[in-house]
Formats: sequence, C-alpha cells, structure tokens
Amino acid sequence: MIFDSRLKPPRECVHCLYSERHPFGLQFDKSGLCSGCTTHKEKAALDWSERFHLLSKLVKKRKQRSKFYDCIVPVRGTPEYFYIMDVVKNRLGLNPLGVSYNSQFTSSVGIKNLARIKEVFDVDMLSYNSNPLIYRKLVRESLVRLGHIRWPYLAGETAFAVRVAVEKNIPLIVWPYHQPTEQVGMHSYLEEAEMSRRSWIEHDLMRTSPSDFSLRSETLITLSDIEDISYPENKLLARKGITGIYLANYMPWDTKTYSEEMIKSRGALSAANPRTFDTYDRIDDLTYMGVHDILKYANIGYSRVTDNLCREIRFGRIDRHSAKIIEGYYQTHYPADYLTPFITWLGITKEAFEWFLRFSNFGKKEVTGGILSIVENEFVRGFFSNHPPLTEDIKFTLYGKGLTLAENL
Amino acid sequence: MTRVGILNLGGGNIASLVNVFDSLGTGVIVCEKENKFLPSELDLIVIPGVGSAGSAMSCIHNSYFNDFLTHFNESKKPVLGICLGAQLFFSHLDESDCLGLGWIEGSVSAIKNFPFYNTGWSYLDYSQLRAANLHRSLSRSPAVYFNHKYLLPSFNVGASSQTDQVGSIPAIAVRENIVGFQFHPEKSQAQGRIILRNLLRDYFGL
Amino acid sequence: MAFKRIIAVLIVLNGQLVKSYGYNFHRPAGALPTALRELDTWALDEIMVLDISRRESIDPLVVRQIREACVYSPIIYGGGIRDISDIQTLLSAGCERFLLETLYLRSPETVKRISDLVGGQALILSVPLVSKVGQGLVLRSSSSNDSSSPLPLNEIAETIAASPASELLVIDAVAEGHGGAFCLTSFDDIELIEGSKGIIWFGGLNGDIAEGLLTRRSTVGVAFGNVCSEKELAILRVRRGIAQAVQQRYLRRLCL
Repeated sequence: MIFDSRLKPPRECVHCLYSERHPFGLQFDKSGLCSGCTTHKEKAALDWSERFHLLSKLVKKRKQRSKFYDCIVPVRGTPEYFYIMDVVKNRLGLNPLGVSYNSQFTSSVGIKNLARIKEVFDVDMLSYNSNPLIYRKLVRESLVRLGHIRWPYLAGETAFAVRVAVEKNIPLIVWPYHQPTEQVGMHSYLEEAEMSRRSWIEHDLMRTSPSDFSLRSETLITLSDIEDISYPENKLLARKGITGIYLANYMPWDTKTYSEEMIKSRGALSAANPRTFDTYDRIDDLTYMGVHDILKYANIGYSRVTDNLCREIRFGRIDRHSAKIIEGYYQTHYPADYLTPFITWLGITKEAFEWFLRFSNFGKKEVTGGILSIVENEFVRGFFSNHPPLTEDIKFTLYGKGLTLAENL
Repeated sequence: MTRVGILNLGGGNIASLVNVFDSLGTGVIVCEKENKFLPSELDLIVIPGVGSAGSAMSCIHNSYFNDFLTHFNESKKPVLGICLGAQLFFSHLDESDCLGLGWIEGSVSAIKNFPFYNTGWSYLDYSQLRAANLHRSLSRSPAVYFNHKYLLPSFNVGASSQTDQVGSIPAIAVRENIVGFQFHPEKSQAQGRIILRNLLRDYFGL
Repeated sequence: MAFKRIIAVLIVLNGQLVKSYGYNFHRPAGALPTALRELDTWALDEIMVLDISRRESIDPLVVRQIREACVYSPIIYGGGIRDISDIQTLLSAGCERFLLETLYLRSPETVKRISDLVGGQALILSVPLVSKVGQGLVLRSSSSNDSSSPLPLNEIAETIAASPASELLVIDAVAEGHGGAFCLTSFDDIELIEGSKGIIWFGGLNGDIAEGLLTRRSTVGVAFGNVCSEKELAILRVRRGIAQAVQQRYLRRLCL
C-alpha cells in the first residue's frame, strides 16, 4: 500500500463497511456509494440466464482446443469449490482437471472436503507440494518483507494452475471470482474480465513479483527457490491461448448461498472459524482466520470479518449498523492457540511476532466492540457447521491422513 | 568496468539511457555542463537528443563539452549519438541553419511530406546490421522506435515499414569510432537493449 | 515512414490507477508501477500515462512511480503540464513525449518555449470532443467550474494547426470507457483538424473501429484504455479485432 499523507480520515462507503483504506483502492460515485457496491448491484440487475448462455458458448469454443481435459479448476477444501465443480461438470458438461496447491497449513476439514470433491464429482486431481523447507523460508520472507504470511500460497496457487495449463495444453482455467471485482468493483461483470499476471502481482502478491522477492531478500531467497511459483512468460501464454475466466461474470456469485447448497446436497463440510461468524469461508486453512487475520488487521486496519460483512450487507442480509457491531466484536478475538504452533514451525519467538504487531499501523485491536444483541446473534447463527471447529485441529503441514513433518525440521 | 558518460544538453531523456546502460553492467556518469571531466576518465560518450539542433550546438559551444568532444574524437575514442545527437555529427543542420560538429559531411534536412514527423516503429535492415557487426542475437527484422523530423544525410543501416512509399529511413550512421542511431535504443524494448549491447561488446569491443 | 501505433493509456486519479468511464465514473485499477512494468512486456508501441486529477501542478507521486518503474517503452505523459520546469521534471523521470491539455489554448508562447527545448515531435495536443446539438463538435470543458461556452472545433482548428506540436490526441469524451461507442469520424467537422498533424484516436475504441481508423491517412495511432486492465495480454485481443490485411499494412508485427 502506498502511504500517502494526503489520505486524511479515510472516506467510507455509505452502504458497506469498506473505506479508502482498502489496499485495492476504492472509488466513489456522486452519492457516496463505493465502486464495489456499484458492481454488486449488477447481481440483481443483469439477465443471468443470458449470461450463463454466453458462458456455455465460450467454453464450447475453448473445449475444442484441448484433447482430454477440457479445463483446469483450481480447488480448495471449502464448500464453495464443490459448487464450482458442480457447475463445470454437471451444468457445463466439461471434463475438468482439478489442481490443488498445498498451503502446508491445510485443516482436516479442508483435506476431507478435497477428498469428497474428487469422490462426489468423479474428477482427477493434481496436487503439488512445494519443498517444505523452501516454503517456510518464503513464508519468513513474506512476513519480514510484507508483514503478511500468505504470499507463497497465493503465488503458488495461481502459478501452479497456469503452469499446468501450459504444460498439459489445457488453455482454459476456471476460477470462481475475481476478488478485486467482488470487493472494490474493479470491473463490471459485463466486461468479462479475465485472469492476468498483472492482477496476480498487484492484488494477490501485494505488488511484489517472485523475481522482486529474490532481489534484496532478507532470508536469502534464490531464483531456484521461486522457480515453481513463477508465472509462465508471455510468449507461452500467447502461443497456447491460456485464458482464466471467472464464473462470477456469468452467475450472480454468492458464497453463502452456494456453500449451503453444497452442504445440503453434496455433503460438503463446514466448520467454525476464529475471528469471524462465517463457517464456509477459508475453513481449509488453519492460518487464514488466525495468524493471517491478526496481521491483516495490524497492517490495514480491518480484517476478514469486514469482507464477510460487506458481502452480507450488499446481499441485504444484514444492515450496516448491526454489521458494525459484529465487526467490532470479532476483531477483538485473539486466538492465541493458533499462534504457538505457527511461530514454532516458522522458528520465531512470541516476542518477535508481537514486534510485528507493535510496529504495524494498527496493532492489535484491544477495545471490545460490545456484546452481540439478539438480532446479531441470530444472524451469526445462520451460518452453520457440520464439522468440529478449526480450534480442535491446529497441527500444520498435514499431508493427508494427519501426517506431519518430522520434529527436527 | 566500462565507464559511459552521457552528456546532459538540457532537453534529453537522460533517465532512460542511464537505466539501460546500468542494466548492461556499465558504469554510467551523467556529464553536466558545470562539472569538467577528463577524456581519459570515460570509455564511451553518449550524446542524447531531444530538442532543437541550435540549442544543443550552442550548449556544446558554450561549455567545456566542445573541447572535450574534439579531444575524444581526435583520440578515436567511441562516441554514440542518439537521435538529435546523431544529427549533430554532420556538417550542417538545416533545422537551426547552423553548423554541426562536422565530423561527417552532409546536411541534415527535414522530412518533406505529411506526416512531417517520423514517429513510431520500423524494422532495421538485418543484412546492413550484419555488415556493421551489430546483428548478434537480434531477430531477423528488429523493430526500433523513431521520433524525429530531420533525416541523416548518409547512413549505413536503413529501416523500413510496410507503409514506406519512399524506401529506407536513415537509421544508423557509422564512421569508425563515431556511431549515430537515429532511433532510440533505450525505448526500443528488448531489441533496442540488445543493439546497445552489441554496440558495446562487438563493435566497440568494450 | 514508421508504422502506425497501438498505444495503451493508463489513467491516474489522485495517485491511483483507475478505469475511467466518460470521465465521470471510475473504478480502481491497481497501482501505476505494476501496470507500467507489465505493459512494458506487451510490445506496445507507446504507453500513455494520463493524470486526470486536475491538480494545480504535476503530481510528484506519479512522477516518482514512473521513474521507479524503469520501463523500456516510449512513455507519453499528460495531465497538469503548465511550464518548462514540469517538462524537465518529467524528462528526468524517463518520459519521452508530453500531452498538453489547456496549455496550448491558454499560452501558446509557453508551448513554443517547450518546443524549443524538446522539439515538436515530443508534443501532442489533447483534443477531447463532444457533440453539441446545433454546434457540431466542441471541445469538452476540462473543468466542471468552467461556465463559459465550450469552444467549437472550427474556432480552435487554426490554433491547433499553428502549434509546433507534431500530433493530436483526439478523444471521444462521451464514448470513453465504453468500448465500441466511438463515433467522432461520423461528424464532418473532424476534417477541420485532419491534415495538419498526425492524429491518435482515443475513447471507446474496439478492434473493428480501430481497423477503420487505421486506414485513414491522418491516423498515426489508436489508443486503448480500460481494456488493458481487463485481460491477459489485452493487446492481442485488440489486434484480433483488426483484419489481418490491415494489421500487415499498418502495424508492426507483434513480437512478445
């Protein structure tokens, strides 16, 4: 984020909870509505059956270019990804190759969901594990350089999908949605924006490309360390016609509704997260709503519960006032249980981690937002889970069947 | 380390030249009018150019650049002129109706017909590049960026595009230690950078 | 002479890169340095950075971002250029060419002095046009506070022709941001400014429209804005909309 002294108290949207402080940037119309809310209005306004028809035509054209698999679907172990597979396999009639990049912090509910996706939809899945020692080095660099621990996973998840697309000549990659479009309205759904390396570097990787990572590295990252998380070059992308599409351009994407549909009909599992009411979002990753979320608040002044609430406000499922109360309530949660295994794994002390919080822009939110009222409690209870909460399961680097790395690493 | 001096005549885009020479591993120094340099301190001089011939020549004449350049040329040390810098090598500059450095005979005159300026990309002639030993690793028709109104009167390598009705555009003029590029290698993306590398390593042997 | 050009336009508002729609509505589009570095790998003919913040002076943040991006493609800068010192600041940041907005109408003498420094080939005049019933094409007012009547094209055509700048950026100010909506060449008035200087067309272009514009004698380039943020290697998509024969005749081969 560029720190600019011209930004005084950040301007807030009149509808959702986002402000100018959003790291993707935010623009406002004359009425004070943010660009994210403006794009969201299209979910109610567009003719989605026509748009789905557009999608069918698009994939039909792309399908003819590959030999066996029609497309690649990057998969995570959350209920939403069941929905993507359902659309791709059953509604579009494609033969997908699932690809999964191991975050090294996968929860057991995440592993179970991944296994269930393969079984329920009868799909092939290609999984990749980066060298765990190098991965840990990258996480350390990410923390030191950016105050953020997810750079390696975000780099690897997309880069792996694109590299498989290039190597196996499967030009079409199907993603659920483009986060900057959903959050801050970077595009209109009508523009049918697609995946791009520029957006990967700008939004996912916080403006730090893999080659930047190895330059002036604090932890001696070398070029070979970042080889498997590097995006293929333009010549290859152009020659093979690699295209990443977002289903949200063709369907009124709603994580809550789609997740619940899959829990009911396909046996997807959900679990309670720390620091948010949402039991579907990012439950596959033990660090997301714990360590990462604490650091996110410390650096940019809001956390994932705000993203979840903005979605709910825009869908009209909660009002702004109650959302503010829920936001304040969850942001004060400090799940210390999640920290110890992580910092032990990373090889830093508790004091070192606290140092990052102390010298960050916003630190740790100590002031409690109060108690949730009946209305807010009822809203929170609307997100249900059918698996033990993530707090029960805090071992890292699970490689399926609960195996962990040897102690001496 | 090869030391490259870039003369700051006031109207040129020095930053891009510094970047590209830096990326080629040379030591880059920007020579300002106020600081005196000894010719022995530098291995290559670059005269960049955007602007008018008259103001560039008067800047040279009214500063130590004049003696400096004369000495450099007399010792047959490498000099690279880019765009206006290349035009200054010639004897007469029609733009400001003044004398150039006079190292190569000829009069630099304007493009006569619309669009009056040559702005955009054209392909260099590969066989002429090869004759000048500047061709290594380049594609068979390397495209480079031009932005000028006046033409070099004589040249060793020409450039062309499909839209050319009039034949080759003067692109590179070479006279022993003096090399003039009418185009901007520092703005010609990968191919421009490779040509500069070839100039340093293959042509000048630096 | 040289091939005609495809130019990518990056629009900046208060230090942020944005997608612009008729200059009225904006969407956030990331940061300038990432976009510059990425577009530098697309083999574009030129990249234009257009600051629409309507500041009193050029934005030092934008200048710094251009300098740090360190690109090897030609860069055109536009937005808030008032005098020679602005030009010198931009030259030192690595910009080649400069887009002049109101300066050429308010102070032609300053434009002459700038031209003496950098040459006419480094200057482009911005001509944002809207059509007004009964008046034909008029210059879009650059300030929302400007209550004076907009200048019709026939009144500024002479000023434009007399200017030392080499080219014009003619913008369909209404169609801007809406690909396919460009329609300036359907107005006869446009011929008033064709012929004296090369024209770069901008505002609501797509591949088909660009194809038609490239065949016009006055055209030296076509510029695209929002679409550059929407797809991987968007330049390829744009070129696919232009017939092969037109591409071969007027544009250089794409070499990624």
